[in-house]
Amino acid sequence: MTDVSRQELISAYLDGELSADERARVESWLAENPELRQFYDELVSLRSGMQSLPRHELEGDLAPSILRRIAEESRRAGGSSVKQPAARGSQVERPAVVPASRWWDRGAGWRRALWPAVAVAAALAVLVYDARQRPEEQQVALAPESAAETQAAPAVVPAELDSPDAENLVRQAPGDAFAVPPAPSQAANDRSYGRAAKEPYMRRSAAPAQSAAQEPAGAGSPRREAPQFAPAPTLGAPASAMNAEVKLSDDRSPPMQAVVVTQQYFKDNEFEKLLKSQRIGYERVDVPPNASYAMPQAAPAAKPVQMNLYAGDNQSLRAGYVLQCNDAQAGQVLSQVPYPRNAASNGLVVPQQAGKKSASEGEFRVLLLAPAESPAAPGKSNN
Amino acid sequence: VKDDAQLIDEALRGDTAAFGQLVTRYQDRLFNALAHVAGTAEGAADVVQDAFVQAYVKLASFEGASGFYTWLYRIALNQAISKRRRQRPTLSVDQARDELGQEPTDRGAAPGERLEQQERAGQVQAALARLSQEHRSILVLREIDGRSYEELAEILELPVGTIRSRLHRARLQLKDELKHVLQEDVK
Repeated sequence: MTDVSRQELISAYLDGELSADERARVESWLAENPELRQFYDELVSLRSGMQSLPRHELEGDLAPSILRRIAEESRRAGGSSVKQPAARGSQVERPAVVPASRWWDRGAGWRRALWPAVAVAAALAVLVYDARQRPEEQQVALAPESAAETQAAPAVVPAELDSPDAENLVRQAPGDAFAVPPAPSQAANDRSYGRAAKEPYMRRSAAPAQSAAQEPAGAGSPRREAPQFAPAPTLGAPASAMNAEVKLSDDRSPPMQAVVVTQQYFKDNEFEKLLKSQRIGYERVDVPPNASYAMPQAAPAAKPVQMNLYAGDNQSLRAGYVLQCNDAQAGQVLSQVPYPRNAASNGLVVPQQAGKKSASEGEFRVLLLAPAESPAAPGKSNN
Repeated sequence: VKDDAQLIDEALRGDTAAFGQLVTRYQDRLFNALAHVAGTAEGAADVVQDAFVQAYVKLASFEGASGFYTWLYRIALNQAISKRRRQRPTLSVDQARDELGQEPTDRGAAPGERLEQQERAGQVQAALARLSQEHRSILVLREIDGRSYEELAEILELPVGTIRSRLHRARLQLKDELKHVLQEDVK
């Protein structure tokens, strides 16, 4: 068991959320291992620090104003004197305060037909989203109230990433709404994953996968005046998927917004194996079925999912969102990203999975998009 | 004292006063949690109000599988998210400290201790403000609001396994932010 796993168990031990066996195991570690004991003590101290924060106190009782609002909204919702919510199981009574009907409530059939396009457009929106530098209107936006609209629904079981049910795979992370605008991106990780590509992604994507590694090295200087999502440098064809590296920026820079991975790579949990092999933590975030985004435009069929990636000693959040698509779709999506193509590359393309000859047979692409604020070091290689 | 289920039944039968009792019961707790999650009390009262109104409208759909507060909190969190999305305010660390400065941590403590407590609380609050929203939310819900993993899973709509790992990461992040303070503590 790794230290990270042990620490996670200790964290859960602190919360009293372990089985008897796990508890016993943790207690023996704490008795025998001074470092883990110190870790535990620090967690206790953190808890104590948080619990000693002052309480925020309301200045008065909100009940009168809440009841007044309920009554007012009841009246507005049809002039009815009815002031109670719909009774459970009633088919006749309606809530006194009726939320405005949503577009998706008005036609289940065409709604289903539209969903793939909506999901894809969400992917595109996610791709171009960068809270640091985008104007507000270009940011991904959850349709107001839609999240609240789903509240009565039971918790959604996480969807498998390779599930055909793309409808369950779109959501705006709660964190984005609250997020303090991140600091400017720091220099890219100084590790290099192959030669930086001068050519734009589209050209590379149209070429056979094997040729990607033969592209010229070097990278143009990034333009500072506009945020630039960098198409990836190529990686010399790895011996296997497990030799590939996913490049995440260093701990202190803000999270990237999107990762593009071709669908094939999701099969057999290849992507997760790759992440694990590189000690990149991940978690899938399941999505309410009727979550919705403001869509800037349509995009080819692809599955956006929310998958948070964590890296570094502190396993801090480094990337959100994953877009599953095939090679052509990746090119199409990227062609619609309205940012310069001459940015320095600081992403990664894994050209080919071992033993596979084409995209349809399992070629995968891992492309991490991040603002190219510093040029990738050309000429370095991880090989 | 009536329990939540009784009050909900009465509210569903049209007794808004019963719903008012639920408001009175949970408003302070909800307000405190939301204010800590957002890093500021500003606007939290509006979110609490909106959440209760929304909860009233949806009351018939509350099935009782989770506690009323858990359900309510989930509504409130989404309300807060929508609100923040529209406003996109920034929370400055100074602002967090200013708020703390107006609110002594322990009015019964001696002046020296009080100062130390305030300073410590300010450091914790500032560190929390630097965390990602995801991490701040889960830490507040766990450490301040005392939610179990199961409740966290329900509120955040995540599997329990994810709750465990996210909480762990959140603690690592907070620990990193407070490493200098912690070194003093653990010595």
